[in-house]
Amino acid sequence: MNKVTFGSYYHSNSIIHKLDPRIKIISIILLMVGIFLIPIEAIYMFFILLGLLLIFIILSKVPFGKFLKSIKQITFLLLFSFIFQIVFNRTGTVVATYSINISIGTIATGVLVYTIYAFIKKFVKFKMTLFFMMFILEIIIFKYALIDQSFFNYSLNIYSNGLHTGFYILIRVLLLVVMSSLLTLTTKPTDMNVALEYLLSPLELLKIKTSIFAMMMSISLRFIPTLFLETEKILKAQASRGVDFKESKLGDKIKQIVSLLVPMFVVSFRRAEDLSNAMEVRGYIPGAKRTKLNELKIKLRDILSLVVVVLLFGLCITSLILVKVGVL
Amino acid sequence: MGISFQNVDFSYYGYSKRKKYPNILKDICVNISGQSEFVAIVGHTGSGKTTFTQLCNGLNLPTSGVVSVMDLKLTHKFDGALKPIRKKVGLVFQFPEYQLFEETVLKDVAFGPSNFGYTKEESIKLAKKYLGLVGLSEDLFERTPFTLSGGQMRKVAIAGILACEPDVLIFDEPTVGLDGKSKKELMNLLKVMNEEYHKTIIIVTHNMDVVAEFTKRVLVFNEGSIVCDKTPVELFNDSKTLAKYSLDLPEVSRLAVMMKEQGLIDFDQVPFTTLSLAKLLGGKYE
Ligand SMILES: Nc1ncnc2c1ncn2[C@@H]1O[C@H](COP(=O)(O)OP(=O)(O)O)[C@@H](O)[C@H]1O
Ligand SMILES: [Mg+2]
Repeated sequence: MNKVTFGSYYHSNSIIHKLDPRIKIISIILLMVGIFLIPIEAIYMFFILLGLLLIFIILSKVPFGKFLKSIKQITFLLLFSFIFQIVFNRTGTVVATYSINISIGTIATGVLVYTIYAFIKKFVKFKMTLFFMMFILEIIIFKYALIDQSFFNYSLNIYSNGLHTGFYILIRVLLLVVMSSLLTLTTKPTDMNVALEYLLSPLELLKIKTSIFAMMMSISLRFIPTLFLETEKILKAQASRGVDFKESKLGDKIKQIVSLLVPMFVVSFRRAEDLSNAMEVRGYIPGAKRTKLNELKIKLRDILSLVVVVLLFGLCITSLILVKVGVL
Repeated sequence: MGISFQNVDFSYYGYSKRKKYPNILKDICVNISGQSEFVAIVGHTGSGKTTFTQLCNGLNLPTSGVVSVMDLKLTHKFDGALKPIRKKVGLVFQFPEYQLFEETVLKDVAFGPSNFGYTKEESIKLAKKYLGLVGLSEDLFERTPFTLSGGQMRKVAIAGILACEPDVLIFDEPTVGLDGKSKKELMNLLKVMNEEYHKTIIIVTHNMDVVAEFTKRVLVFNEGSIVCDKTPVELFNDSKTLAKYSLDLPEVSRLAVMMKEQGLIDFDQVPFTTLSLAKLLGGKYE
């Protein structure tokens, strides 16, 4: 709780960081829609997008590991959908067969490998890699390590369409994740907020006060780290009075949670009250017209990058039309 | 048995072999007995006083070195139960709103003891005893803590820690924001706890009059190190140290020095407390 950073913004001085946040948000939305338009027959389009995204990533000077981190968070989802496709999609031609031999020997070895994995897991940093190593080892064991009599034998046929669709889903989700992390890594939450205020301003015509929502957003962003610090203080104050989540009974635990929640509310309400008074003293009126300290200005680079994105979007639509018409 | 620091370093970013974070506390070595000591901690804001107090009861664990509290040795690897330490070393935070939560004052004060294994009746009894000691009138016992004044809330918070009956009591800037009368009451309470109940009191303060009048030992913190560990009289006579860390003399002493300069009184030893100045002036005080 000591390293309180909200969002994943990574500071650098690259051209991607300097792009107008409005343009960035519009571009990301366009590209995301584009990704969903690309039909499975035009899978090569993904490689164009992937290549372009790589160029953006290099331009942004954000270390590669940051992106890997966000991919890591959804590895299981990716893995699951891929395996699901491979196991259950049974159209097209058979590409490969994988036979599972279940016997006392293979089960015992499998369990042994898993136990070793669970034991080593505690001591190493690269848990994900270790998991995959374990996974592959298990696959090999169940296929080849047959020493005794197998009492159940199952052959899994892998079909070309399953592989194809699995890959299609995989790369789609991957692109979406990398793209959205490119946005959040290179745009400060406050800039994002300002940009959203601009982009949503047409709603003012419907008498929806977007400026109020934007102010609420920016205040919350500002106060999240503060509230974290206050929570830490409350935790410490109650720990001094014997609150200890590790070693108390359930009934006590509930009381102890209350002892954290009530001061949290008291402190936040007090802060909110002070802040609203301070804002009012400085002339803030909800919904009134305000000037901006940092006006966003569209520059040449913004227009250029938007042109590139629109072209790409057009390409995605073209590929869809071509496939539908039957040219490809 | 008390609290003992051996070459303690501390950083808020924890222990890491690879990265070296700046240490908030550096090479702290100090022994504080678990009985009848009265220690003041002084130093600039940001010098690490609060951090130090939180190391004393295991809220922070050292990044290197050992903090021995009673019989337990706390290191960066410590993974055991900290509750026994919290029972022995009570820490009163500066702002009471961080700990008050119950429906009534009495219940809130009884929360601590009941966490430390006292029965409900015992806890209530302790709560009543210590609420009385801090001087909160009995008709406030059933009030909601949040409807009290700031000073009263602080009293409830202090009673909440006293009721756990720790051997060592630590107060982080307890007199800030209190009016003169409450300040005096609080300091007299600490004196009683120290002299009659033989508790060790550690108090973080900027008020040199409090240091001179009540405490028996001063630790001066500067940029995360203890730069001076003396009795108040020794410290106030050491004008070099005072100047180096821009510490003030007590107001009484400054007044006395001024009076001497004006030729109103004369003395060899500067008086540091009201009582000693009064003795100088009238000589009738016992
Ligand atoms: N929770 C925290 N996380 C990170 N740094 C902290 C935290 N609390 C205090 N610090 C830093 O530690 C230093 C010492 O703070 P503190 O112990 O509160 O000093 P003092 O009580 O003497 O004013 C300060 O520089 C402060 O910024
Ligand atoms: Mg402090």
